[in-house]
Amino acid sequence: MARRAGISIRSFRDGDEVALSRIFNEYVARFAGPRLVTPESWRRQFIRRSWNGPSVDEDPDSVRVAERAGHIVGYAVTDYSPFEEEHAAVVQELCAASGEPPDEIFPALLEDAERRARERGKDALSLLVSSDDGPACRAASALGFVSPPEDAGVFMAAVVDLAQLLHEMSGELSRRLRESDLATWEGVVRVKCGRQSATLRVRGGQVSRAPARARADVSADIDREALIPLLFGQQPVREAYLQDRLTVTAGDREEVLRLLDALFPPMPLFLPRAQWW
Amino acid sequence: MSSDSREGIKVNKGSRWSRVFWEENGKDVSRVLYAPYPFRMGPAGEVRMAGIGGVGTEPSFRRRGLAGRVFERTMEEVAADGYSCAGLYTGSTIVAHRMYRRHGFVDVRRHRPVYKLLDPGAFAARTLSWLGREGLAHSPVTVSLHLPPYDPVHLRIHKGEVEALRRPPSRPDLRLCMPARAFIMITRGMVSLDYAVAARLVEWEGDEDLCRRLRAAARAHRRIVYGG
Repeated sequence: MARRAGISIRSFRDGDEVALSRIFNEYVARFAGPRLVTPESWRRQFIRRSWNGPSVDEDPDSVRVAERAGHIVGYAVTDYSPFEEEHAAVVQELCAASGEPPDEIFPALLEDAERRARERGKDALSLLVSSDDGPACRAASALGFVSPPEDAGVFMAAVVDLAQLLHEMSGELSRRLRESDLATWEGVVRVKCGRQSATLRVRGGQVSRAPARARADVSADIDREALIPLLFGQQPVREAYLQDRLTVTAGDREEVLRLLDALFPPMPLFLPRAQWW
Repeated sequence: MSSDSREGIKVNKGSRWSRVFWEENGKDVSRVLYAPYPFRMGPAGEVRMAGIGGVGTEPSFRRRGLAGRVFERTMEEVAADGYSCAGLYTGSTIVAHRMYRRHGFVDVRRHRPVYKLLDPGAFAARTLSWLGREGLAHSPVTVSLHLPPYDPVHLRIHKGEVEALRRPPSRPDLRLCMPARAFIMITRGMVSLDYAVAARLVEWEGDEDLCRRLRAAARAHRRIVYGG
């Protein structure tokens, strides 16, 4: 049992999934990424070993739970036999409960994972969560982890149906718009990419699908290479514009760029290895 | 489960995973799997993403355009199933990456794992084990490797084996110094040793001929990073 700042760490026990799934959902809510989990779906993920994750039933140490004053305050999922690196261990999910300081919980969990990896004869430990995850990166850095600039592994995406995609995003687009200084903007926006296009109506702080033939007040033509990074918040609108990958047709170009900024802001992504399918 | 066959490419739709495949003698020789992978675009938006995985073609059936045809059919099925987008995890250094790009996939985000070497000597000996195989050392060679922020490690290469030494050799044949992060990049195939030398990430002292042979051995060693 490890102790740091009053934190004790133990292995997973059946029933923990209720608290752990809640902690996961709270922690990742501010990121974009895979769907939130239920206790059942979280537990199901770790029943059998998969190519990207350990089995907690075969190895209870693969999920370590941090407790303080008898309450679960965080957890780490560690794969001690990753398929790609036989001699290493991979911490692939690291979450802290809302209101609990990750800067205390994460170092305790990482030190615990390190100790267990050493006991198992591993010569390296890697942390594969998200480079947007500030608390995890800070903890790793403080504990002497080193960071190569990037790896060769990559998450790729393709748009199958742009109109449908933006329709599915309309609730989120409305939220973004309402939280911006353009909440009162009204009009019709057409987004085009190659042969695909989508038409959106913006009214009363709501973004909704409009008929394709509706007269557009604003038209944004986005290069295929820029569309995905822009939709997933990985390229700022103005950067795409300056790179000539986004052209806009409108009376007030500056206002339209501000509108697109509001609808497609940079967004942190959370893609922990355990959540790759 | 439903199944469909067109132009030799078959589709089996299961309760979660669907399989698009080409079969020879009852065995999949090229296939792609996909399943729902709902993706949150923020606190108030979830999109219908098809998660693609299990992509592979038997070696003897490669370079015939089969994988491309199976993948093209997969994307048709994904569209017919009403998905608005598709996503996959792969490696940027493999041939499939180019195929995915041909089918409209774009890199969203590269992974940025961070590492801690728990036993730098064992790590170096293991990740450099190919040095022994590349015929670097007909006679024993000792190498001191300085990998700040870690303590130096010392290796002995002989008869196809690379072993970590517990004590530093009195006079190593070669002394290399580079940041640990540069060493990890090299061992993972993310940059070549030649590149690291040109970028002045690596400093070395020792026999010129041995240095030249080390670089030649590193050049001969090829590594594919990640599958998928």
